[in-house]
Amino acid sequence: MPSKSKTPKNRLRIIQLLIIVWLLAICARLVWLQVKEYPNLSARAERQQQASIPLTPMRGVIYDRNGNELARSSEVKSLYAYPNQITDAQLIAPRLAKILDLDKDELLKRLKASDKVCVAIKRKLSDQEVAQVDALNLQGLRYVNEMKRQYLNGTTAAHVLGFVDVDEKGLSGLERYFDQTIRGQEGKMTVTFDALKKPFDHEIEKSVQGANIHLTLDATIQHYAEKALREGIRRSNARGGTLVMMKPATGEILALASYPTFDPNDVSDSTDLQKRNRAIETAFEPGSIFKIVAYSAALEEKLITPNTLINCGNGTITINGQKIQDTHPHSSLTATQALAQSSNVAAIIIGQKLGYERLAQYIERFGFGQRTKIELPAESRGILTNVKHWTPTIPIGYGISVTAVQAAAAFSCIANGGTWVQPHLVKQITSTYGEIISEPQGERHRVISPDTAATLTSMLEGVVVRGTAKAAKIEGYRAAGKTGTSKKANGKHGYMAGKYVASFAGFAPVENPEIVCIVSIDEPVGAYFGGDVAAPIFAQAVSHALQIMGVAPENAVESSFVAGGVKTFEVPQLVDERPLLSQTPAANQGVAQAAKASSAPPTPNAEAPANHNPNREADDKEAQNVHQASGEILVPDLNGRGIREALALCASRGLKLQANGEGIVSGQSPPPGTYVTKEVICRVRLVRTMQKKSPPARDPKKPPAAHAQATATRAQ
Amino acid sequence: MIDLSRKTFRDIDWLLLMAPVALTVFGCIGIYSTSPKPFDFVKKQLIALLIGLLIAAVVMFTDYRKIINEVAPFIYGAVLFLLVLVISPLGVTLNGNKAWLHIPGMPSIQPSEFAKVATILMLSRYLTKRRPGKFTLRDAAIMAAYVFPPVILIALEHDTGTMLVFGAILAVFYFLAGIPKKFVIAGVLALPLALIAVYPHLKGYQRERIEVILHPESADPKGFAYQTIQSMIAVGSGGPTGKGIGKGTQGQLGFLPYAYSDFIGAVIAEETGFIGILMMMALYLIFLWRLIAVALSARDKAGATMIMGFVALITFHILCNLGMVVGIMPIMGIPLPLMTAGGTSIMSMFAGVGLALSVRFRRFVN
Repeated sequence: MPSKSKTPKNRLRIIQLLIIVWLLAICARLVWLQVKEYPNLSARAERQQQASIPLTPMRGVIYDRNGNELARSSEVKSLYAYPNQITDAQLIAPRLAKILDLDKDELLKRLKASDKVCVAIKRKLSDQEVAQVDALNLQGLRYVNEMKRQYLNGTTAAHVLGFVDVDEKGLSGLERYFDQTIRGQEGKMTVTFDALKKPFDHEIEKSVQGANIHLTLDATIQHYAEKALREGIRRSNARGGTLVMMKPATGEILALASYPTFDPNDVSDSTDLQKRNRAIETAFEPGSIFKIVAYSAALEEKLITPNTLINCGNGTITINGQKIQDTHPHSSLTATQALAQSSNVAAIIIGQKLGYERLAQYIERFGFGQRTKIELPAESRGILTNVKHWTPTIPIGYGISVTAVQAAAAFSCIANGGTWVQPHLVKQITSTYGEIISEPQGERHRVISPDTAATLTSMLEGVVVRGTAKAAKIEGYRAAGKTGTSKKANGKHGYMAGKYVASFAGFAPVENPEIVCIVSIDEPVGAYFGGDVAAPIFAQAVSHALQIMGVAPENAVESSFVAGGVKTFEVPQLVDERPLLSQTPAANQGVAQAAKASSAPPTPNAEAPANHNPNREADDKEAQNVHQASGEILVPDLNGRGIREALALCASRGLKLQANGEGIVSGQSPPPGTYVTKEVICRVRLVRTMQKKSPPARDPKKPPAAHAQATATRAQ
Repeated sequence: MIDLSRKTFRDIDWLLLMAPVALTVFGCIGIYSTSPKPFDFVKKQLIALLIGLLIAAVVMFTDYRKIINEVAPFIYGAVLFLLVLVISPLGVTLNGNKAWLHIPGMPSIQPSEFAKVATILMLSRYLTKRRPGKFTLRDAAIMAAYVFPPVILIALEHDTGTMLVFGAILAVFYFLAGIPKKFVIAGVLALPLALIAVYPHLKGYQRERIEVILHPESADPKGFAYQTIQSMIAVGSGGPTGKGIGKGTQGQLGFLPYAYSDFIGAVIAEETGFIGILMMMALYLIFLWRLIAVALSARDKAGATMIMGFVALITFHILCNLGMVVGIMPIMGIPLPLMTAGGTSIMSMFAGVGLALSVRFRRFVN
């Protein structure tokens, strides 16, 4: 029998009840925290325990058509500091500030920011800066590897390549257009910290390298084109200008230059004007070069023949109350003469014969008023109004604005036998592993018949031979083209006095055009006619390009360039230039070797840009190529190489080259492997062969038939 | 007196004995995860458990009436002496509290833990000695007088939480001794008023610790609210099923302060989740319910109130500690009995278990 308890049981029950109530309250709170607030608090825990550091992926490489690297990224170091581990900030700050070119007070403040775990000192240090910082041997500093974009040829093709910001994001040019493609996939490092902010553990999600882009651009041609443009603009004290060079058969852009220019390696001091890609962003009133549209249309529609006489009304015509004049008044001219003399009156009359509707159709088919869809951002479509709002000056290239790329594409129609081909810069895009991701084929459509194209070509050759563009003559080749000189619009339906755009658009060689080139010069001072200002630039740039491409000269008799069947290339001129090729492995070993050798020695030319990527390996190669004791030069093996490659190889070593014949090298003197002095001229014999010993690395797509045909033409 | 017959053995309340053992082992999980020297700490804890079981065995077979009547004053005196030693240079300060006594050659002990048991014994003793009859103000004063010496000595150790524990024990003894209802009601009403009255006189950090409970969103997460906020993050991020034993990031990365002592509950919640902490609370409930059952069956008031004093002690600890861990009570430095790392606490708990079993053996009047 249970004993009689003296404990007041009801009071015990009350205590039990209180315990239950309180435990239930805690349970309710636990449900709140662990079920309802679980996602929030979990995220909060993660936030205070983990820091996610993005891992910049390696950006893809941009190559030119010969496999030379134009832009690539490499790892550089960024400097960070742990303020808590820095004891003598007062002492360190001025020294670091001096090395890194920073404000020392600002730096001191950052070094003393004890509430922060880690502070950035400077991003992307140069090797020299790293060495100097290391020499200080300081505590509490740390490097983080980051990617830095390098443009190996400095300003060359700056507008095409564009540039990236400090986070490797493409801001202009191809870098921007293909940013998603070549950026790669960002990785991530998740670091777990303890409460004292000490790293405890980390997890790495690797970044994926971006795709590589192979351009149709030829770095060497581009370099000479830029040089010609720059020199021409300086000669005429112009504000700027642009040059576009493309292969008319395929639409491949060989060179696309704009001036003034900038160095994509450091855009901090560059102005917007320098960064503007005039070839695609700037639309200008084309003036007379636009006359080809009206002439093509009239020929195609059989309204005129080259010999049709046109009454030029002594250089004046009044249409819709607007008086249009010729520079040199003529009474009557054939169509060919009218084009050669660039008669405005004749073009207006032809336009009248066509009618606006028909002319508008041709303008559209020639690609004006529409973007060419070249792979660059910010392309202008030009200005082309509806037929209803046209001014009568459209046939002579006023009242319409075009871009240089549009004009180049239009001239390609004539050069390639009547087909509009889309200008494009990209040959292929490949993955890191070399597989082809895409190989864009440009659009194309027929504009005029091959007959019309051929007729117009001979008329345009007349412009160069007898007309306004005599300065566009290229020694050794026949060229065709059209000059243009337009007054600059003032934006208020009027034109500015004394401000012109001088242009020349043309192609060469006439029989089998390899290159279409347009040059447009903005506000030349003094001589302002396209034929005086732009045509010589065309001649210089195209002449270099044809030689580099190994295009056979057409007209040996007229050419003073070829004497006794021996072509002499002035190699020292090349040596004076900045290195043309990058120093990385290219598709062709020979090219790569030449490039490596060329990158290391300082060039005597003041224009040579800073060497962006000193390469120890290159120095070694250089040592091998130059005999150490005597300073004599090792003669390279030129056999089986094209003239362009042979030139580059010799140029890189300071050798002069004399070539005989055409095609690829077959036999050289002195023989490869011997050491010679600088004065010795290296002679090579070139032969054209269908069965090449080594496939040409430069342009594998080029059909051998084209060369054969070129040779045949010369024989006539 | 000691009678190891089979009947006695069968009479042991196994749930009452095993629930605290299970809780101690449960606590070792959290200690292992978060203490700086896991094996050392767990080893100490398990040794304390063994000693505790030994103490329980000895006490269980001793007549509690003898303990209350004859031994209690000596224990009480000895504990007071130890408390004096704590404020002497022999005392050791840990976590801001000077509560540890380190005598060379012996493990550190926390005399305040023993003081709680000793005070419960003395209060029970008084209830058996006093004249039967209505509970008077005189009774209340004498009982308070037993509580004051240890409380004053502990106040000198700056151990606020422990002082509150003594208050709770005294209140429960008053309640069970039959304090008139009007006083109970008055007390319940006075408590919030007292809190409001005391609040302005609290120290800055104490006020901040209360503020974070009332307005967690406006608290400074780096100030004195840090611990409460981190504890809530730990509990919440554990979610329904926990991050897994040994995988609690809050506890292991040091965000949770005192993870293996006062905040062991948060570690358990983080690593074993809602399910785990519910199991832990169930074990405590079993433990308390068995103790209350013993109290209800006790043959005399001394035994019953002694056990209930013990229940009050444990309950107050659990509720304050878990309340603090989940962020509904301010931080007071009250550990979670049996789970928090600390040998003295475990040993005194098992002494209590022994007393309860002793009361149970002798529940029948011969």
